[in-house]
Amino acid sequence: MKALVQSIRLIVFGIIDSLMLRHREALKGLGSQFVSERPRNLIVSFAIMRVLLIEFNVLSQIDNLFDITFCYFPITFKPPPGDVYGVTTDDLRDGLQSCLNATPLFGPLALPLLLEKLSASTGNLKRDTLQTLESCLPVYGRAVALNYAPELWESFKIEIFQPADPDTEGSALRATQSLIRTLYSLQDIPTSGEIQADGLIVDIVQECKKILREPEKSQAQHAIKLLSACICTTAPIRQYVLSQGAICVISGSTHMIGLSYRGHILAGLTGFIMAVNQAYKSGVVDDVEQPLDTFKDQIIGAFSSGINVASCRRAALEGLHQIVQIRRLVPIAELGLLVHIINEHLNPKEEDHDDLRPEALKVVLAISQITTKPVEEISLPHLFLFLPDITPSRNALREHATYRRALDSLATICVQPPLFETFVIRLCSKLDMLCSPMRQPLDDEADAAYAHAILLALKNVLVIKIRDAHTDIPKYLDQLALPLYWIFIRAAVSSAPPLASSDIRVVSLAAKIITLIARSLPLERALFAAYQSGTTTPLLAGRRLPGMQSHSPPFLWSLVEATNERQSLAMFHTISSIFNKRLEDAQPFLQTRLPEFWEESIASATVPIEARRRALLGYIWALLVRNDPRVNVCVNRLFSIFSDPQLGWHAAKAVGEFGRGGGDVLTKRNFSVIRMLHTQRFMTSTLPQIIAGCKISPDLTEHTTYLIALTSLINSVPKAMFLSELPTIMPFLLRGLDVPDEEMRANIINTLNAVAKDESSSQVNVISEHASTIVTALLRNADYEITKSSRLRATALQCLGMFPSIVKYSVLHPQRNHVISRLSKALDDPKRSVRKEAVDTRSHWFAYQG
Amino acid sequence: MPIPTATMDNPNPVIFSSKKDIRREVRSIWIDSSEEFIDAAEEGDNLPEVIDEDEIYDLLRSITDPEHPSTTLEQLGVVTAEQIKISGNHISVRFTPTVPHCGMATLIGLSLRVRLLRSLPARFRVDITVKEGSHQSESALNKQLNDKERVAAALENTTLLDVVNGCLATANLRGRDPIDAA
Repeated sequence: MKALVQSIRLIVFGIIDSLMLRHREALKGLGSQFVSERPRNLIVSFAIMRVLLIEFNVLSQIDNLFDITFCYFPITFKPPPGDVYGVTTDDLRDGLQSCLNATPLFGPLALPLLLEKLSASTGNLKRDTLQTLESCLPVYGRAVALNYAPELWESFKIEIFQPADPDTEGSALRATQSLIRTLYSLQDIPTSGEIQADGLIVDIVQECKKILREPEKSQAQHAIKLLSACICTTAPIRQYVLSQGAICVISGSTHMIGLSYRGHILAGLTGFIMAVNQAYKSGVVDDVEQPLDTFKDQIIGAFSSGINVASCRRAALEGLHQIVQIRRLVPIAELGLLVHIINEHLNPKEEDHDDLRPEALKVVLAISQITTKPVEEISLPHLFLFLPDITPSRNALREHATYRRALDSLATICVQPPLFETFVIRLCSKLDMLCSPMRQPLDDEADAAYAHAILLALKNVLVIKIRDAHTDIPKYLDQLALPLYWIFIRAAVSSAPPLASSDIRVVSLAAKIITLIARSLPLERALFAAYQSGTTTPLLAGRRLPGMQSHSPPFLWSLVEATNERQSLAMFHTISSIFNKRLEDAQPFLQTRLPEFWEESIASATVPIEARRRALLGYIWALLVRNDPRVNVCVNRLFSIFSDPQLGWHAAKAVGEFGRGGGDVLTKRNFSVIRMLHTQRFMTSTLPQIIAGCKISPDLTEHTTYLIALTSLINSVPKAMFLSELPTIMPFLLRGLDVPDEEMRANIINTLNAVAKDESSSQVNVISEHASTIVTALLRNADYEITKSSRLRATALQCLGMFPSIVKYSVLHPQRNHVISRLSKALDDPKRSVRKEAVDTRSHWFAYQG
Repeated sequence: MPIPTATMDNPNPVIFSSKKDIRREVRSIWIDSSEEFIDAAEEGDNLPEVIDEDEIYDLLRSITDPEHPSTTLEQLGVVTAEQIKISGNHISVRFTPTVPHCGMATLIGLSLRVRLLRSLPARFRVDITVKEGSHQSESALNKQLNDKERVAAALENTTLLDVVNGCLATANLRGRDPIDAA
């Protein structure tokens, strides 16, 4: 074989492989004539070897076969950078493993060697050895495993009780599970009486019991993990471990005189129950088995009394959360009792409950998934009590915090359909009261904040219900969306609407809720809502809702009469959605009015700038319809005003709006008509134009305008669409990092972040090439004396923090110390969120070494 | 226990399960979690949020113990929020070794020192001490940890620096579970 060039050898192996596949029987007669070192060849030869070992009579050659296989263990191969063959370490490792676990005949030969490797290796190699053992032991069988069980256990024990890292610990636990399964695979479940066991599992349990006498110590946690791993093996083992371990722990909780360790004991118990849950989830527990039945009462007793002791409340709640999830274990009546007990720790007035409130709510939520009745009868009335009819004044922050806690808690537990229904009814009537035009509020703003909090709670539950694909959402078109419309439209047409129904924050939250509901409607019902608009944002238009029949009056209204930008934007969104769905009706407007409109209201320099800006926005949204040839005409018009000193930048930013294609307004979820690939087509036609503009525009302002167009465009499309152009674009982006406009710099840094995050992409090299320039620019952007937006500073720091992992040390090492010293300024940033990024980034740079 | 623990000062330390979540006061009657409004309200204001005890605790809690690489100083009760005090530009951090003969106390103190050197603005003066009566060579230890020259000298030693960096590797988790963070 060595006589041949390696590529030829690959072919030879391929031939053998296919012979193996098709003419296995003929080859069996050949005997022992069969067996490169190139990774890709190895992969093929491993595959051949596996077939050989499984299908052929290899007994006489087993020593040789073992030698030529095991000599590759452990795999230390690392693919060279830019490896064209694409063979990974894992491929080889899996290949080798599939040979080693191909035949039980390897058992007596492999185990002593693997044991040796286990004690001699560290890190990856140790994990590899443990994983190999895990996969091989069941194949090698009980007899061989029994011979080596004590040694294997001694080696595993070190990794379990003195873990170097979580990965190795996990591998050792899985290897132990595999060993136990192999040793006890033949045992049946004892039908009655004492559970008998012998051998290794007895040693393990005894040792753990000894350790568990000191439940507060770190070793006890490892012991719990080990016993939990045993629980996830087979039914008899599970019974044995639970009867021994759980009894030991429970007796600890009752015999212990002091209370100081009770939390630890309960935590240990929780560990066991989690393991049982895990066993259920992974399907190793069958329907007949009820592993915890015998201990149920003791365990629930321990937890429910634990709740009353501050030091072990967390552990008790976590335990309850686990135990209520076990199928058919806790009877419904007892669940009611638990809800009662937990209720006492859900008082929204108590700030002290905040730490454990999430844990307590988790238990109630878990119970509500089994039965909603106790939650509806006990938790809900208790929490609704804390939603006041009279809003506290704006200075009473504590009172505001109280109802917010109540709303938060309700929003966490009212996910199940019957609970959500009650929740919606109660909150809607509160909202109706707050927003009533007849109301004489004591404090207008406090009322609005209260309404906002109520809507936020509603929205949060809806988001969760949508995530979990609940089917009861559509009925809330009548029960929630329409009442909301009613509340806000009633306010809009009244002469002096209360702030609670006209504050922009409140109204847009209501709009969002309606959108969420509309999106989940089945298509036929959606038609009604969809006609209104994509996002039903007309609510935002607030004061007046013009008729929808003719398209130009609302358009003009939003330009002339809308009192603020949000109102006109909402109207533009509405118009855009209508055009999107009823294009034929819009044709006359689009064909005749719009070009005139461009000349009159946008291109004309005599119109006041504010009006021109708004007109431009309207123009764009009107044309954002679909993949229409007019879009290109429109973009060309935009290019034509790039040199306009007043409107140029706005036009440039508008290009990005086209890239986004209507963002969250014109989307499939809103039942808009979306053409396939229209963004791609738009990109291919527009990007080259902009790049050309960046290159040739002589005048600095116009050049900057093109830069803005470029950044807003690429920030609005998925990065795959411009990745191939990155080398060309990069120099322009870098120039853009010095432009005063912060929004634009944020766009560029977001783009850099997106490119840098994908380490596998070949375009990371482009960042490497410009690394030093980018680093300097990012440092400037992170400076709180230069950059006003805290979010921009934080993103700049985040981006800077990625450099150590994507750029080779040799490239940036001259700058390392400079970066570290410049970052010390960011450590003193006025904003906490920025400081956090600065600390993380700086520590990455400290760790950046050759 | 036939586990090779003879070389360790405290092979089986007590674990504290108390997880302190950092909470900050309610500042407005409006809930600011709705994405859109956060920009307007917060982005540009630059109202200073001063560095407080909780922020320092957050920096330190997830440093690991040199002897137990999978256990954090928070879990071991070595650092607690109550043992950190700030007045003006002066910070005092006190820590409690798990056993009075703990040979790792210097290393733990050094890790705390390095973490704060790297994460706090230079205007702060930091004192790091062991809790009174918690260590047999308390005064020597305190002297060592607060002597600039000796700290600098210790960090010249690359082996020592590697160990410190190892302890700091998880510090950015700030109390989160490594599995949740991933």
